[in-house]
Amino acid sequence: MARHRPNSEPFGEAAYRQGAIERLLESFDLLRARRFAGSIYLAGRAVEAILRAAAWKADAEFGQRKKTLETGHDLRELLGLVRSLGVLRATGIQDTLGANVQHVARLWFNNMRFASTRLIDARWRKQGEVHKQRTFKHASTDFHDRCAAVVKTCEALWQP
Amino acid sequence: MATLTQTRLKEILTKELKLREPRFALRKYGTQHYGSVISETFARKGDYDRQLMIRTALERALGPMVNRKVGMILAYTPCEWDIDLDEVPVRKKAKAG
Repeated sequence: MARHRPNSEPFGEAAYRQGAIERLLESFDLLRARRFAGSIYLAGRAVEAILRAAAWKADAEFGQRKKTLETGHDLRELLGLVRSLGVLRATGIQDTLGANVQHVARLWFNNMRFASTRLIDARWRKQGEVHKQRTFKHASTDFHDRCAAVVKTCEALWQP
Repeated sequence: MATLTQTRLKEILTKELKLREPRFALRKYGTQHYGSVISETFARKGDYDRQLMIRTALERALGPMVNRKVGMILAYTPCEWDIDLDEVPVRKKAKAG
């Protein structure tokens, strides 16, 4: 028998938005504790959640289950979908937000949830994100700030 | 446990961070306060540094209850918050039927 969950809410725009904000705070907490891999993973997840919220907000058919999201966890594809739905057409927003999502998408991948700090550090070194003059801590902080910028831009766009 | 009101939360952030002309957009979700604070005080600071300012101020004022009472408070400058909405499209309507 299914358990009764009095406060359960369907996964939709509001749930994704709230999830994005909570993941971002958790990412901050981990970054502050120098737990970089967890911080990076959760910050990227916050971006995915806010882009999903944008898709749900722009197209009611997602909420009505007439459409399913076919982008998986690919942030670039999610960005493309959100752009195609016209969510980001506010003046000056599209370029900045797009650049931040592209930056995050280059460094983040869904399987990061299994990745060790050492693995991510090595991968980011290979990508030139971490080097002699730029520590993993510095790169992790910058990554967090880019993810925060994406979430904050969407939240500012949707202010009541 | 003492209740934390929005008024008290605004007072703490304004006083502790010495915010210049702050604006707030706060809401309650469950038992926690969430939302945004807007002030020129955050200019030229990265988001991690802004959050560090906010959480440190809240921890100083509220002690261990902070994580139970306050969720994410996003920090904006007025420029970041006051987005030109002229070109933002309305939501696409679902087809009937």
